[in-house]
Amino acid sequence: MTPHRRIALRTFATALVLLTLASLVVRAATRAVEARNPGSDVWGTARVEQALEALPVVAARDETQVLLFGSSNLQNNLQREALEAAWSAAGARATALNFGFGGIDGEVQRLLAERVVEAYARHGHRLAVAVLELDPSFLTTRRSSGPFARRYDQFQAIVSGPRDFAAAIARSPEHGVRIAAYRIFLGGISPAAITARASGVLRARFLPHAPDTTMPQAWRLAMARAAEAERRAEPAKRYWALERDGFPPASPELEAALADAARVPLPDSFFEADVRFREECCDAVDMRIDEEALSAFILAVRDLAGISRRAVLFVSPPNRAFLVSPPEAEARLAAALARVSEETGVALLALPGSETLGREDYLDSSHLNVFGARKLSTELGAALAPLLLAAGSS
Amino acid sequence: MALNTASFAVFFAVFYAVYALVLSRPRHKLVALVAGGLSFYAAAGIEHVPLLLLSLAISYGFGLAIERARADRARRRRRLLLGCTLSLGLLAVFKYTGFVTSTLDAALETLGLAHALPALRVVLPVGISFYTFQSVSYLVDVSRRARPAERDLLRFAAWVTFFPPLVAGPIVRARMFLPQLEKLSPPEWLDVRRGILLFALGLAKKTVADLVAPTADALFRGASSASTLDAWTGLLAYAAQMYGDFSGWSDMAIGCAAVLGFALPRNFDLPYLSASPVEVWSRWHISLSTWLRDYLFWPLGTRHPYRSLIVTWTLCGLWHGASWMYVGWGLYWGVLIALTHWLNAHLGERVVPRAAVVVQLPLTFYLWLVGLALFGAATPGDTLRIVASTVRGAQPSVLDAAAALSLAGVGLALVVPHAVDWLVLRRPAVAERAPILWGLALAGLVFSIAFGEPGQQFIYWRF
Repeated sequence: MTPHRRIALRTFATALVLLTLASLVVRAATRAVEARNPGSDVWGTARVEQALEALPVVAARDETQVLLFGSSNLQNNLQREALEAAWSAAGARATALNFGFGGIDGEVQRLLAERVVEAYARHGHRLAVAVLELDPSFLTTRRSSGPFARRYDQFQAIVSGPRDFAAAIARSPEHGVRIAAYRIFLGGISPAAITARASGVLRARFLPHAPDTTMPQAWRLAMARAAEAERRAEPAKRYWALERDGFPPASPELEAALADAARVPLPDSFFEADVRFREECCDAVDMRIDEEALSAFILAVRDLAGISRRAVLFVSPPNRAFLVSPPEAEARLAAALARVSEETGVALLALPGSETLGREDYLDSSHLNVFGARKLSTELGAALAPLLLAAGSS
Repeated sequence: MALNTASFAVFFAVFYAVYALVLSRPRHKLVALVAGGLSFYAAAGIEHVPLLLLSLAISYGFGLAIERARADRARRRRRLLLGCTLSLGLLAVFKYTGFVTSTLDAALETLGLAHALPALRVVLPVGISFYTFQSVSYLVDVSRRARPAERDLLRFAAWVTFFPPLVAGPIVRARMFLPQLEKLSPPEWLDVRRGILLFALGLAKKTVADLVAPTADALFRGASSASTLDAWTGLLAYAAQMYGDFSGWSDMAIGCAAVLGFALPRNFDLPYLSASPVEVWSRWHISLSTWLRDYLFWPLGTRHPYRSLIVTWTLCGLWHGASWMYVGWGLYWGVLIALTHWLNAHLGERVVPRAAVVVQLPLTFYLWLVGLALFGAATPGDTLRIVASTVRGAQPSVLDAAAALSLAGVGLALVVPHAVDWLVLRRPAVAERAPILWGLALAGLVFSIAFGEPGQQFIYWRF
């Protein structure tokens, strides 16, 4: 071998060693920081990671299951106990699985659906019912290309399989190689997440903590009690707990604290600021739909409907006291739902009672407080009961 | 394709494997360089490739034509003029059409003829400012007989399309690079090590630039309500961003080239340690300032040197961007540089004694920051407000913990890259000792991997 070829091989080896070492240092340092700061979930990826870990166990269980697949609306707006009580009342029995995840987009949902289908296919099991929530803010053009679009790279890195990476590289070499690099070198963390985490640690260490005096003191005290009750209910913080099938922890103490917080009227400015944030990140008011993201969601619906005896579409009701969309935006949402139904054969589940949810039922512009969650869960449970019975789950 | 992207990492790995391991014949290596360069450029938009090839054809053809006319001075000058006009004409069409029409439109509007001109939108091809200047320098060098015209089209194309500096510099002159392409000497291991170090440090500097960018942006967005603290924090952040972004790209380009066995000119030499406006431009974007000196200032003539300086720098401003703000920025530096030369000429070699370098350094840095305010602001009014805020803000400064943390972060973003660069440039024997070199390279990579946003656009891509 010529000396120059030896130098070239040495260059390759050196670059590979440096890159690997650097990645290992970053991974180790990030895990060390997270270990010293428990309870921190960088942009919600921990919930997705833990759900994927639990998926094989869940898919292997021989029982009647209802998959609730969607956004943080499903993650937060549903109470397992209320759902299962509604089914029991109708003579149906089933286990609810909460696959609601915040901070993702249509493409990540498509990938998640693929992982669910693979897990169930491996065991030859089917879901009794799949409830597929269309969150329009997941499917807007602003979500795909706006200020937070880079967040979804990290989710894609975690959820993608080898074929998904190859497909991503074929669609966009830079994007595909980047998310593959996040997975291979960083185990799924993205630099943006690390930067956010580091700035959070710096702020916590160097900046004095000031209570948010824009929120009523009674609310702050109740939420502090709720946080304490949650710590007692679940000492080792999980984001997708297998024993709760992805639902948040529950205890009488926690429910009482959350109810106390829910009874405190929150200022209009809080809701208005939330609406502004959702407009900025995701075009939540005007809902200009990204056809590519919608197509990805349709694939997710098709996949999950394919492993379910029954499937329905669902739209979580927004806080209409503050999040009011113009008629053309509602028309866009209706058109998106019609397209999903037409292409997948899955119909929209109407919940007339959700129209009665008022300002007092909401935490913000889309997430329900403990009262609203109970109402919605009871109504959704009652609406799903006939489907469960038809699917043969009594 | 930017140098800080994951796809560039894959591209370079494949290219290097082919170039350094597979190919051994010089002609094959030249073909690989051209193919690699065109692929690299096409990644930014394949529609821009024909323009690059056209520019290449113009400079190659006219180089030969100029040399054929070496005995006839007038013919040689005509061919030089035509070649430069065509090259610069391409740049003018793509870069300045919108600027010219909007300026004319504004002028016509004052005559009551608003919107008389069609609104033209021309997409600016990436890197056109850089490769056009390279072409012009080649034609002038051939005309001046500083180097013979290159007859080998493949070698010529390999120079024009050489990808590390192709889209954002440094500007690489033919007389420096073509001899390297004639030899195609493979790199020594010392060159490769240095290249890897420069690439890692460049990547880290780009990461620093991206981290401070929001602080700089906040100043320009809120120019009318900035406190003195905001103005200083924002301007220092912008200074850190500009240095990190541009010197970062240069380092990465020079590093890549070194790994391939090519030497590119140094482009930055600790510019924020300059003691005068003249010195700033002998340390900042050196390949551009020397190009302007050799191909614009000298031809304009030294009969009226101050006028020539002001014209040169005003055109430099225009090169940076098609807007009156950039022209104003260029004019600002032209006046400062002319003034500095005038003061040196009329008040002695040094205006103030050596001991007062402690005054000269911060004063020069402040003048640089004022220039940055002009460079980054949207309007002259915003520039004035920002500069005024450095003395007296629009509102009182509040030095709370958050502001102090921000200022400290910006300070580190300025000092650390300069400190590392000082080590690499002024103490190379120390910096290139294996533990320090590999330690710096590893630290640069760790920092970039942890905090870098791959694919964040480089500021100079816009030029």
